[in-house]
Amino acid sequence: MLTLRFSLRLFALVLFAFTIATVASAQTAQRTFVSTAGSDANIASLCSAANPCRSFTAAQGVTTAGGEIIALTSGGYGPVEITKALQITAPTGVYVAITAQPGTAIGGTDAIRISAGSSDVVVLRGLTLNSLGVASGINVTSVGTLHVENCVVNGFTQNGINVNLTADGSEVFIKDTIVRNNGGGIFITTSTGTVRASINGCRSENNVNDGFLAYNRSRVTISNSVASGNGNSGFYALSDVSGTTTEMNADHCVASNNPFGFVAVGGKPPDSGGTATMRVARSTATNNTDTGFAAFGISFGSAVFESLGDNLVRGNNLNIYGVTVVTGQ
Amino acid sequence: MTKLRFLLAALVLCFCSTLVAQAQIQRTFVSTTGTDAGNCVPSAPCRSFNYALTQTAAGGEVLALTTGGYGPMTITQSVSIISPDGIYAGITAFSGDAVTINAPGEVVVLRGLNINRQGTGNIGITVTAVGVLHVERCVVSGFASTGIRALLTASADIFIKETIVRNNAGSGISIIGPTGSGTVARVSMVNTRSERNGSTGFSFLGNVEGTLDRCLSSGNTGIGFTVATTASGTVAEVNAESCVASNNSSGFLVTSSTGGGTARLRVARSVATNNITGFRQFGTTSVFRVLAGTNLVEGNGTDKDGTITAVGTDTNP
Repeated sequence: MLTLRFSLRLFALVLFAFTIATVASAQTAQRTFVSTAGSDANIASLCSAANPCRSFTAAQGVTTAGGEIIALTSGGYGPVEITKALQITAPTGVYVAITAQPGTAIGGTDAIRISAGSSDVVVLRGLTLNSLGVASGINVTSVGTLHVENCVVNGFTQNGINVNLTADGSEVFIKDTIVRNNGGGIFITTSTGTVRASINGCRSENNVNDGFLAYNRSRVTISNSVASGNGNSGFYALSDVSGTTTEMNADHCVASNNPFGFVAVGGKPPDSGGTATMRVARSTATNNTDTGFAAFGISFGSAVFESLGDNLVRGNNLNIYGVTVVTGQ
Repeated sequence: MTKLRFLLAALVLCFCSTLVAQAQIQRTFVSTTGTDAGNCVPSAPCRSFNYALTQTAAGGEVLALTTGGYGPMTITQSVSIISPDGIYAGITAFSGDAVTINAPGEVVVLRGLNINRQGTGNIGITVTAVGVLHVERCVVSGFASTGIRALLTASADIFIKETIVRNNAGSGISIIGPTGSGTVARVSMVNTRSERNGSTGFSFLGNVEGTLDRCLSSGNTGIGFTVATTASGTVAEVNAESCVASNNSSGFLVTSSTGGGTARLRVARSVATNNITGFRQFGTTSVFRVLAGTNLVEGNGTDKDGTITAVGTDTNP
């Protein structure tokens, strides 16, 4: 009997040690799942397909760095701050929304905030982001490479997609995405070095300010995209800090019903001396209420606007201002 | 006892005859709640693509019913592997290659798959032999080597459409055509994007006849689009229409630095910006032609390097 008791005690001890080990190992899974019928208690099952979690935030905690979270059912999954290499995917046919309001938004302002490491790859695919009075749909403060694919960003009070970095060398890819009814559409800048972006197949509509804004220290190439009905510029390259260069190259793009279609602005008092370049090929600027194609060098800043000479720029209040036609290859 | 033996014998017989009678079927199904047994019918789906393939008739199709991962697979027959809209069918390779296609003369379709790597996964889709391959609406990401690689010794037709290949440590898409006389890889790619790979975005070698329409290559450490020669007598030819190359080393490159074959690249209505070199021709047996004045090649470290020849719309170059 004594032996049995001892054995039981030993067993209990071993069990205890095992439990500790399990907890301490902080297990993660390469692929995790969320569902509107799920529960965040299922982090104990690593948010498996059979036992999915309820929120992206909980699932991120048990997803291996570089892994992916898949949404299984249509519904809302709440704001999330992404802090590591991660993919969040909503398959076609599943409506996955993140609705942000002041009480639930990350920092009170964002539906998705990305504050990942300088070499982390983050992918957002198939998400619909909605605002009930908060600032940004996707607010990127640090990331190595970001891919935004097949997303809709709607109704935020500031920029729908706000890439506002402090480091050099990040790369941003935005494709097949609609950004509408926000304070601004897609905004890209860094305070150090250069941020490079490729935008393909996107639409920026009815935003209060600009459709696509390449701001200080960004190099943006944008193709097959539309900016329409925005409150300022459709496509905008702006350098307003001394010593910065900013560039936007646009191919097969359309700007209509904005005040300005395609614009490069270098310099802006009191900070002057920036250089902004806009190049446009095979594109259309129509029905813009101020100017279709324009380059403005303000104070000591400079602006370059190069057209391939094959653009349709008609029916604007003023069609072109400060544009140079370059020879294509 | 005798009775028992008889029963057992009868059971075994039954089982065997079932096995024999179980023919491959035209359409099989996989599900995350399935098991790899039986013949993968909708009411009793299987768990992995690899097992389902053993139950699928040549020319048949495998459908994913639920969202989840279905494991690496090797394809040796004519077949379509399909993830319908609304289903996320993942294939994750923890080591080795995710999808291996060794199907001489067969017709293979991959549609809607999300192919990625964890650990030491090598190549996303590797093709050593195929008759016709269609890759449609797939995502291939994160591999230690190439995203999609065809390394062919016989003629083949390859179609890649609406596919994204990103963040692979090697090249994004690499087509290495056959080198034998009279053999060629005929390639068509439409609306396909190769982004942030560690080497070349789109690479063509060997006997290739390729056409690219609305393809985009951006942020690759190597070249955006490259056509190069290999063995003497080979001809690699690629025509690019409405393509974009940005933030690569070279945007579009044709080179005859190795072998002695011929490499040709023609580019129309395309863009090369923010590359180290925009359009680059190198070597004595390579030809770079452009549809006169239709390409925007500006803002690169060097916009043009080598001999770039303009041709008109009515000229046969």
